[in-house]
Amino acid sequence: MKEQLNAHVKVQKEQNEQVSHYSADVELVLESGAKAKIEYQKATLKDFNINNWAKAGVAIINDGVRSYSSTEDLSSESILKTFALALSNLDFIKKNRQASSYLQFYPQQNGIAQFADFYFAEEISLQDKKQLAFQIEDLALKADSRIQAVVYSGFIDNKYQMRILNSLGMDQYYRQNAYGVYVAPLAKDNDGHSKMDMNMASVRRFRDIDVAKLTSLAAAKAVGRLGAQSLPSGQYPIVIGKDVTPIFLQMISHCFSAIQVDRNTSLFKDQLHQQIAVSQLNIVDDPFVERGQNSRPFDAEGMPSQKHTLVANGVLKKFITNKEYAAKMGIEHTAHASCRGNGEMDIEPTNLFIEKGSFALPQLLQRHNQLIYITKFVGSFHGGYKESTGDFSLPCEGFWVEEGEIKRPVDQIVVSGNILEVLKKIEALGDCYGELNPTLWGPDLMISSLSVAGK
Amino acid sequence: MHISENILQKTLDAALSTGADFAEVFVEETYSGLTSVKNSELDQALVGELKGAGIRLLYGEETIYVTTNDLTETGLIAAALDAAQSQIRQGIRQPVPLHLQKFDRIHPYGESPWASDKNKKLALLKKIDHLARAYNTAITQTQPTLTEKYQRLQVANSMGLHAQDERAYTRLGIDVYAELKGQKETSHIREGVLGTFEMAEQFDLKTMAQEGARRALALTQAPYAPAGEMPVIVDNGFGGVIFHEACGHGLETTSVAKGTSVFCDKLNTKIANACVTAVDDGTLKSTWGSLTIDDEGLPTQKNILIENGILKSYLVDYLGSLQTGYQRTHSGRRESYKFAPTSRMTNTYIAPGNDSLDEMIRDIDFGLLAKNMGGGSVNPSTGDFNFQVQDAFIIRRGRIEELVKGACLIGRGIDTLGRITKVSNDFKLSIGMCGSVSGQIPTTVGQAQILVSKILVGGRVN
Repeated sequence: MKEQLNAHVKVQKEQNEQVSHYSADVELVLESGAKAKIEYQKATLKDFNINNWAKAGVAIINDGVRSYSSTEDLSSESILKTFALALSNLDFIKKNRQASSYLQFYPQQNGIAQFADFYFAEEISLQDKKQLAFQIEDLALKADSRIQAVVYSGFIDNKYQMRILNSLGMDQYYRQNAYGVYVAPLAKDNDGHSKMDMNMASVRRFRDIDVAKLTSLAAAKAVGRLGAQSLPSGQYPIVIGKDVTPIFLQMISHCFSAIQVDRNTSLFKDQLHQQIAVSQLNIVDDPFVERGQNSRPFDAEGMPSQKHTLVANGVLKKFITNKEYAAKMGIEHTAHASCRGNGEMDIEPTNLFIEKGSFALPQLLQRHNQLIYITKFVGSFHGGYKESTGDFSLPCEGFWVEEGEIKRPVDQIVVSGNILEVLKKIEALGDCYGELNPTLWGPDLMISSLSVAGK
Repeated sequence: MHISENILQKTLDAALSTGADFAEVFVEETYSGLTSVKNSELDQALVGELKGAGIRLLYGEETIYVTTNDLTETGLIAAALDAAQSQIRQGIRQPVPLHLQKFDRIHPYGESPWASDKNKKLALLKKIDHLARAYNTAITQTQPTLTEKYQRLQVANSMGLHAQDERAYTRLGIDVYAELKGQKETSHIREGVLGTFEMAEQFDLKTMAQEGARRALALTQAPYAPAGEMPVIVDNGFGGVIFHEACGHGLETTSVAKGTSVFCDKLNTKIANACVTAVDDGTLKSTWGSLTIDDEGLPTQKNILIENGILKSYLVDYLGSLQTGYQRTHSGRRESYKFAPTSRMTNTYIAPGNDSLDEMIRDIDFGLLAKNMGGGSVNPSTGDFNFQVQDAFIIRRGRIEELVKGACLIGRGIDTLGRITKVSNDFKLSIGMCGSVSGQIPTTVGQAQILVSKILVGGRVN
């Protein structure tokens, strides 16, 4: 794409010429991607989907305000029309919004870790892709006689690229790829009750896809849930399985954002350098890891990416910022600028993880005479969590454990609490990471007690 | 944007060139705008354009779907050939010549969003902001937002159908933040219409603002909901999300055709009590979930899904009709050209009944009146569903008592349907957004108050 965009360099020059009359600056962000998805069902190709997409976002900064417009038509004519729309909106914004003296674009940056684009896409034949997708369903069905169907399964080949050009001379580019595989087998017992579970993997290299491991684990998880029953309501010690630990990171990820702190919507406001979690807890944001799907060499402002420890020994060390909010709040710049799909500038983590501890799972399961080992959260996260308070109420499934032994599966239970309290109730951390989530991960977590609603 | 029939025909020709049984082109140009207020001043004024085409091929029941942003003749034909080359079959079909269908305009629109007055929009947002803040000094922040979408689309397929439509969506929301005695809470109020901005000017801003403020304030002092199984009265309006999740998705042929929905093979059988009649109606005038035509080009219709407890119909799109043999219900929908259509809901509700809400309450010894719902989700293969209750009232010995907050209600759809024992006549619809395999789409849920004799309330155990 970089070569294809030379026409857009000319467009940028024309935009630069136009804004110079206003003493404004303009930035053009070009993105494009190609996503191929193949799904088989009952040994027949069910879905072959190729989504080729592109987007151009034009932002203008003038007198401390920003105007933005976007288009999916990357012709020069369309981008210049989009630019005109952003320019026409500028007056309205200037009249009605307070200017920010910290708002600006930036020139070309040095020190960019270009390796962090992690681009390992290969030319894979259509036949090979279809064969792989077919195999996923086939192996899942054969993994256990109790697997009656595969509700969905498939293979994804995803490529992305992005280029930022602006009137201060920035011209930065990166690209990325990922291969994804997923499967959701449905197990049925003799009484006709069914349980579904899923597994997925996201890798950079085609040769790293392990279909056998993917399908056998998914089938084992589904079968393992058969016969699940609820529990009486009560307070229970809980082990949160490493594959579902990400849900707690999802609850707090926005709290690190300087924008949320400034707007008084972060649960961590006024908590900088305070003990917000147990001393064993460290949380890191790392944009340089190959497994992390949010890895990138620079952020949405073109600033070179940085790795940061956000929580060390349970103490909140820093918020994540972009250039504007770092300057506005007088705090460290961490290069976490992001741009939402609608053009709104935001601040978001990249790959966020809880550092692992030293306890193997069997050791965690033995820490209490009876406990619940949660391995699945069911349903919509946003429905079950309230960002403004940190309260959550989430249906889940897992296993009842006695004296360190898994006794039976459980379902139809709801675990409730407050994330700020949970961070201080972590007794111990597991010794390896979950692999299911490509941007949030952590180890098993032993929580001293949580409220569980059951039958 | 308008693609000529000549180009559409050539695109369909190219799509069928390797033996596909069916081809369809969906072309779209959509304007979107977002205006928001924070700290009582303009925060965001963003505009964007979405433009592209999706080309779908069916080889029997196998689906090939390719998208492109290049809407020139060359670009569309290239995308069609890309799709065609993924499968080769014998016997090339010829597309039927296209014939443009005409439909009555049911939903009136005013000025298009890029032409309407930005200052009026800002004034409306500032007004609702002011009304919410004026309610009480404990209101610390509000975020009013106006989102607008204007979609122009064309659908053409190899059976000769050519249809066009324009859809305008306007949605007004306000998030209200309150802090009282050291406790913070929020509430979210949303209204929406299939229509342009002047229809949003008819929303009752005072009620929206004051309800948002009242709710947020009340929640700051509310204890948590209890935990355990109990009878629950689910309120009208957005309470309809219980049917949407517990049943609605399971009736889409998206799930039924796989053989994994819990409602498979249950047509014309009793799946609920006689007081339950459930409908999906895409024809309601200017209603958020309505459409003139579905995303496969067919005029929407009213579909009776359950009648007096008997399952009468699934929601069937074209592929679903091929897979199941059931007649299409004109229910093909998609978020945008980036998705192939699948069977989806529009405005889905439990029809009002004849029972008295007062009697429902009087009959409960200990239970819940679930007032304001959050979202929910379902696994159609197992029937496990959940939805969130933002706030509710305890019912104790036949009387409504204290406000409580924060609980998830869970169950299995088919079991919960069988436990709806009463339906009142106080009916209301509410807007929402529904996510599934063909993306996020506007839908409406609705009902009168219903009594569920037993459901698990996932509140707090002290």
